[in-house]
Amino acid sequence: MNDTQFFEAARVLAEQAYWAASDGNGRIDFLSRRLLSRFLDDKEREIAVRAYQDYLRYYDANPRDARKLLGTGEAPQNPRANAVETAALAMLANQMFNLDEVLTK
Amino acid sequence: MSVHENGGHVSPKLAALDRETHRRFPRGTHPVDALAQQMAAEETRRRFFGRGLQGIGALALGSLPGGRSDAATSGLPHFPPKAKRCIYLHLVGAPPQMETFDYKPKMADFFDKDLPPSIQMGQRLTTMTSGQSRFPIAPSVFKFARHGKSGAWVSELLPWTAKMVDDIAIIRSMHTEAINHEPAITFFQTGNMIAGRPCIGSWISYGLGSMNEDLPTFVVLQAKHTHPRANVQAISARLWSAGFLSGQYSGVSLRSSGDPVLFINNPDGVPAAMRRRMLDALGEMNEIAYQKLADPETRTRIAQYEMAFRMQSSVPELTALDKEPESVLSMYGDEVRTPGTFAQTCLMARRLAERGVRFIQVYHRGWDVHGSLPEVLPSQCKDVDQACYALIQDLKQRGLLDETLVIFAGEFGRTIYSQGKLTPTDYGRDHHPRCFSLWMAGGGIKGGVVHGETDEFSYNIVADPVHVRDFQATILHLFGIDHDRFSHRYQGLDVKLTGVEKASPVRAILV
Repeated sequence: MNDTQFFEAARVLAEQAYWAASDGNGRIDFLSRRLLSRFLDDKEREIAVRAYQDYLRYYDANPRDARKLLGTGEAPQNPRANAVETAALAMLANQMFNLDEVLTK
Repeated sequence: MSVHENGGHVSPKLAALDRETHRRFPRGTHPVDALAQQMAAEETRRRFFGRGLQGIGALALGSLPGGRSDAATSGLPHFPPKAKRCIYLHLVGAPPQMETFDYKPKMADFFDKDLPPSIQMGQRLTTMTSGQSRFPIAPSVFKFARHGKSGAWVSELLPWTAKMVDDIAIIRSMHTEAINHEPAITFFQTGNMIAGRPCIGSWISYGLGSMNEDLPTFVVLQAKHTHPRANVQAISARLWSAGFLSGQYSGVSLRSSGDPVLFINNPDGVPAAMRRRMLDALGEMNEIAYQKLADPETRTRIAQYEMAFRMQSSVPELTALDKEPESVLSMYGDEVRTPGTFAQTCLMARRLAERGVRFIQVYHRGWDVHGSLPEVLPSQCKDVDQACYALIQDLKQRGLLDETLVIFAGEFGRTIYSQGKLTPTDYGRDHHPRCFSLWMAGGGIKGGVVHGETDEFSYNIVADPVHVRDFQATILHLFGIDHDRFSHRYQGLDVKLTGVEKASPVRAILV
C-alpha cells in the first residue's frame, strides 16, 4: 500500500492517465483498462468517481500535499501536468493497485 | 457472457430477472443467501465446487454431518482455558541438553571413550558424523547445581533461569523423529515434517480468534544472536504460515530493528484522512469483487488492509519502549535498550501480550553447536538467560503469567559424543532426536516440576517420554482445546495439528 516503489508506480500511471484523456471518466477508464483489463461496471464506477472527487477536493485545498505526493520515488514529475488532478488520480491509482483483483491476477 | 467481455454492463433481460428476484426475496431471505453465508464463513470456491451437488445440498440444508470440522470453531474452547495467550521462544539450531538441564555426571568418567553400541542401539546418524571413525564421548565442561525447592539441576550457563526453577516445568524427555532442522522445526510448528500445514499460532488464531482489533492476533519476532561464529540455521515464513487455513491466520512478522513494519507510514502528502478515504473506497470495490466471486481470501485482504491502517497507530505505541519504567528495563538487562536483541524482543513480547496478541512466536538463532561448543554456547545462553527470567517475572508482576503460556525450546537434542576433534576444552555435538529438554511456564503449567528422565548418556529416555505431538496437545489443552476434536477438513482428511497418531497432554506438568 505504502511501499515507495509501489506508490511511485501508481503516481506515474496516474500521470499517464492525465495525458491520455481529458476528463475524469476517461482517465478512470484508462486506469481500469491498464490495471484490470476491463472497464468498471456502474457500481464500481460510482465508487471510483466519488473517491476521485474527494481526493480532488482535498488536494485542491492542499496543493502543497499534492506536490509532496507527486515527489514520491525517483521518477521525474511533469511540471506541465495539473498537480491537483494528478495527485487525485495518483490516489485513485494507488487505490486500484491494491485491489484484490489486481494483486491476484 | 462474462462481465469482462461486455465491459461490465448487464443485459436488460438479466436486469429484469434480477429485479424480480429481489422483489420476491427481500435482502437476505433467498435460500441462496444462507448458502452464500455458509460459503463465506468456511469454504473456498474450489472446495465448494469440488464437492459437487452433494456439497451444495448439504450446505443449503444448513446441517453438516457429525464431526464436520468446519463447524468446529464455533464449539471452542471445549473446556475453560487456562492460557489466553502464548509466548513461544524457539531456540533455532537445537541447544545441547546435557549442557543446560540434563545433568550427566557419570560422563566425566567417559571422556574420549566410545559411545557403547548398546546405548546407540542403531540410532541413525547424520551425514555430518556418520563418516567419523570414532564417537568419543564429550562430557560437558560446564558445572551443574541444584536449585530452588524442586532441586532441579541447571548448568552454570543459565544462572538466571536457575533462579526461577520453581516457576517453570522442565521436560527432559522430549523426543522426535526429525534429525535435521527444517523438518524438525516444521514438525514442531505444524505437526508434519513437510511444509504446507498450519502452524500452532495459526491453529489457535483460527480456533479462538483475536482478543484485540488493532494488532494482529499472531505475531512473529526474530532476535539476533551475539557470537559472530555461532552456527546459524535458516528459518522462513513457512514456519508461521496458515497452511490451508485462511491467510488471515498466518503470523505477522515484525522487524526487529528499524521500522517494525516496512512502509507502514503513508507517503509524503498523504494524510491519514486521505488514506482512510482510499481504504474505504478500496474496501467497497473489493466487496463487489467478493459478491461476484465469493473468494473468502478477498475478505481476508479487506481485513488485512484494515489491520494495516490500525497498525499505523498501534505499532508506534507498541514500540515506544521509552515509556517503560527503569525498574522494568533493568530487569531485562542492558541489552534491552538495543533493538533486535533477545532481551528487547522479550520485552516486546510482553507488550504484545498485554495488548491482547494471542500468540507471539520468537526465534533466536545460533544454537547449532556442531563445533566450538565451549566457546559459543556460553554466549548463546547469555543472550537469552536474563531476558527469560525477566519475562517471567514481568508477566508475574502484571498478573499475566497465570494466563500466558511461555515456552523455551529447540527442535531436537544433541549427541553426547563429540562431532569433530575432541579435546578437554573443545568439542562439538551433532543432532540427536531421541531425547532433549525444554521448559514451559505459566498459562496452567505447574512450576517447580522436572518431568522425564534420560539414561546416563543423555542418549535414550528411561522415563516419561514426551513426543512433539504430546507437546502440541499440551499447548492446545491449556487453551481449552481437545486436540482430538479440533480439526479442519482438507483434501478429504480431518486434519489435526497433532496428526493421526496418538497424542495426549502431559498431565504431570499441568496445574
